[in-house]
Amino acid sequence: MLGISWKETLQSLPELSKIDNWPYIDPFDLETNKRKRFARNRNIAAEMVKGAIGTQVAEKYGVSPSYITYLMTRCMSLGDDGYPLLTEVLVPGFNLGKGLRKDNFGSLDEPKGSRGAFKKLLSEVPEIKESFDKMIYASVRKKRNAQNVNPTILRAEMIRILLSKGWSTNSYPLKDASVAYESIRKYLLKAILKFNTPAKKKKRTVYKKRLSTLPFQEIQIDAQTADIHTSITLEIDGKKYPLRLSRVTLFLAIDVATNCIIAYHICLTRAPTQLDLLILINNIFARWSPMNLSTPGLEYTRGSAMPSAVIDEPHMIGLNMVSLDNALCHLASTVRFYLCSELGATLNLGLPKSPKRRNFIEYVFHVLNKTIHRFPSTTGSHSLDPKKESASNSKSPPLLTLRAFEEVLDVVITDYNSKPQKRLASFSPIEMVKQHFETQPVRYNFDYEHKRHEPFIAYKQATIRCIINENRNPHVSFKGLRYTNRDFTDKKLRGERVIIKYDLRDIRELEIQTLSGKLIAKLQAPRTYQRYKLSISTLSYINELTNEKIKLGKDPVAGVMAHLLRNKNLPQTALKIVNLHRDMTSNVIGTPTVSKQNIPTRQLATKQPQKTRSARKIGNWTNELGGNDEG
Amino acid sequence: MTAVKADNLKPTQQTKSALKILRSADCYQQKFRKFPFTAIAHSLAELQKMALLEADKKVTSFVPQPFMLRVGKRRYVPDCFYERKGKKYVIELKPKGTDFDHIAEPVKKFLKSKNITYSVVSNESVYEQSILAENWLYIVRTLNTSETVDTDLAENELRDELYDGPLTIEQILSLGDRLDSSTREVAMFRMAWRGQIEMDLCETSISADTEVKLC
Repeated sequence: MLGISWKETLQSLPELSKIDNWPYIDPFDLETNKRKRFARNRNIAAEMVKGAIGTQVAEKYGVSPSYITYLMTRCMSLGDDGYPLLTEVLVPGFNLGKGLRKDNFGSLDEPKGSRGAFKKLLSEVPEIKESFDKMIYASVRKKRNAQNVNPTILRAEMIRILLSKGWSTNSYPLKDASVAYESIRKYLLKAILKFNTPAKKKKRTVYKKRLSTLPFQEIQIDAQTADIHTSITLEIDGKKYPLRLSRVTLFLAIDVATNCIIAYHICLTRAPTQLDLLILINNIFARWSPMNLSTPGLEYTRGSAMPSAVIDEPHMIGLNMVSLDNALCHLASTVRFYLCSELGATLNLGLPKSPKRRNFIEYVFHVLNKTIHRFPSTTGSHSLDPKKESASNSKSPPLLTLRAFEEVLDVVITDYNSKPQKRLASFSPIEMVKQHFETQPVRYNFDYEHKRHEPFIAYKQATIRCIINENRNPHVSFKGLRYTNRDFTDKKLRGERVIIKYDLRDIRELEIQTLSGKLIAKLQAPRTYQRYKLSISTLSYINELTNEKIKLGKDPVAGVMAHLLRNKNLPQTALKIVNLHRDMTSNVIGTPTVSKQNIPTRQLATKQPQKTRSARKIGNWTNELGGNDEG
Repeated sequence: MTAVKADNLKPTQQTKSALKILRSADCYQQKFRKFPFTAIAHSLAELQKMALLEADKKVTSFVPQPFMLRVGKRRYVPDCFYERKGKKYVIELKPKGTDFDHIAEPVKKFLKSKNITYSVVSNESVYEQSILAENWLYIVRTLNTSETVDTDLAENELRDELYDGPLTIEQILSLGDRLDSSTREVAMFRMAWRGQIEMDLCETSISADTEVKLC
C-alpha cells in the first residue's frame, strides 16, 4: 500500500468513516499524562474521517495542519494483519515500527541508510549478541576469564564472527568506515547497565483484603519520627534553662472504613516501646476532650473531634483487624495478649517492607507532615536546603515549645477528622463514624460494661526463692530486683512456681499468684526504689547506666535524674529528662486519659468478671487436644 | 516413596517453629472459640479457613500448625488439623497450581495409616467464601469479648420471636442504643454459633438488613 494516502485508504474502507467503528481504548487504562492528548487526537480523527477540512480542525485544536496529516497517515498505516492500525496510534508515544528495520541492508552499489540496521544484524546473526553478552557479563562480574571490554574490542569480535560466516564485505556493517562503532558503543552501555542491575525478586502475590465498610473493622497503626525540634524550659533552684529537645515520635491509629484518626500518642523518644503502643491503644477507648489551648491564634475548627467524643460508650468499642508493621515494639507479647485475648481483635503484622498495604496511615502522615514541615525542620535533600533549620538558629532552643507542638497536633488531627472527604461522599470522617454507630451493628465488647481496660497489666511466671543461710524472708527476682515483704514469711513456698502480675508503668509493687490465679502476696521492690514511680523503661535505663559504671547513689531514680541534668544541654538528654519526669509523675500533657465519669461506679470493681452459665455452654473444647507448645 | 516420621501426633500448635515467620510472613493472630488460644495464621487464607471451620457446626475443634512431621530430611508442619463428626482431618493451604505433590503424597499415605485424612486445599477456594469467613470472624470476636453477658432469658425470647418468621438485625436490636439490647445481640450470636438460628452471612457483610431465622 506504499504511496497510498490516508484518504485513499479511508475510501477503500468506508466503515472507518465512523469513529464508533474504530477499536475503543479506555483513557483510564493509559498513563495520566497521556489521557488529555489521547482525547484530543481521537477528536481530531473523528472530525477528519467525517470529512472536515484539515486546516480548520488544526486551528480548532491548536495544532499544525501537518500534524493532522501526520496523525491520519499513522492511523491509516497498515499493521501486520493488513488492516489499518487506527485507535492505538492515537496514544501519544506509540511506536509504529517498534524500531525494527524491514528494508534490506544497503551496499556500495545500492546505498541505503543504516537506521535500525544494527538491531536487524543482531537478530540475523544471533552469535554476535551471544558473544557480546558473554564478554560484557564476564567483564562486569569480574570473572577470571574477563577482559576489560570497550567498543573497539567488541567491534573486532563482531568482524571476526561476520567473516567466519562469510558475510559480504559489500554490505552493512563491513562496508562502512566506522563498522557500526557507535551502535556497538550504545549496546555496550546498555548491557553494562543491565548486568549491573540486580535481578528483580520474584513478586509475591498476596490476596488483598476486602476494604472494610464499618468503623473499627480495620485499624492501621504506625509510628513516624516527627521532623521537628521543640523546646522546653526547665526550672532548677529558681533558675530557668530553655532546652532544645530531640525529635519526638508520633504514633497514630486510623480507621480504614471512615478514614478517621481514632487516636494518637506522642512518644518522647526516638524508638517507641510496647508501653507507647499500649498507651495509643488505650487512647482509642479514652474519651477525648479539647485541650486548653494556650498558643496564641490557635483554635479548634467547628465540629472537630476524635471519635471517642461522639460515641456513647467509647470504652466498649470492639476492634476487629489491627494492622501493624513488624517493628520490634509491635511484636511484644503484652501487645499480642491485650489485642487478641483481651480485646478479641485480630493482629496482623503484615509482610516486611510493605508500607503500601497500610496506605491509609501512610497518607495521614503525609497530610500531617504538611503542617509539621511548615516549621523549619530537620529534613532536606541536602545540607543547604532552605527547608532545613539554619545553622545559626539551630544553636539556640526553637521557639516552638513541646506544649505548643502538642496543641498544634491536636488541632490539626481533629481538623482532619472534621473535613468532608470525596471518598466519603462529602461526609467528614467524624460524621461517618457517628452515622455508622447509630445505624449499623458496629462491634462492641460487652464485657467492658463491667470491666476496666488494663492494657498495662502484664503477667510472668517466676520461682519463689529463699536463702536459708541468711535467715531472710522468701523473695521473687524480677528484672534484676529482689521483691519481698515483711509479712511474706512462709519458707515452705521456696521453689514454688508462681505468676507475677505487674503494672508496666509502676513496678514498685507486684502481686504473686498461684498458677491457678489465687493471690499469694503483694511484694515490694527494694526500699531504694520506692521514692518515685518506677516504670519498666526507667528500670531498663537504670540498668543500662549501671552497666556503664555510672554511680547513681542510694536512690537510683533520683540518681538517674541527676545524671541527666548534668548533660541537659544535649537535645536527646533533654528529651529523656521530660520522658522520665512524665514516667515518674504520670503527667501526660495533652494526651487523653480514660474518663471515669462515663463508667458507672459498679464497673470500677477490680474483681474479674466470671463467665456466665450461657457463655460456658459454648466452650466445647475437647481436652484431648493441646493448646500451644509453649504450654 | 519418601519416608515420613512424626515424634508426636497429638495436635498442639507449633509456635516455637513459627517465631521467625511472624516477622517474615503475612501473619494473623486471633483467638477462636473452637481453638481457645491465640491461633497464628500464616496467610489470610489460613485465617479465613479457620473462620469457616468455626462456621461449620459439625466441626468440634481445630488446631493450627498441629504437629511437626519429617518428610525425608525436611521438616514439615501442616496448616490445620480439625475434627468433624468424629473424624480427623489435616489440611494444607496452597495457591492454586502449586506443585506440592512431593510432600503431599507421602504425608497423605502416612496420615491415612493413622486414620487422619490429609488434603491440599487451594487458597482460591477459601477466598470464594471470604464474606462468610469475615462475618464469622465478627461473630467469634464478639463472643470472645462477651463472656460475662448472661443470655439464657434473651435466647428464649428471641426463639419465641423467630417462631413467627424471619427478622432483620435492625428489628432484633436497637441500633441507636446498643447497651440496651446487648443481651439480645450476644444471645443471637451464641445461638448462631450453636446452629440454633440461621443468619444470612454468605452474600453480604453483617449489617442492619441481615436476615435471621430459626433453623
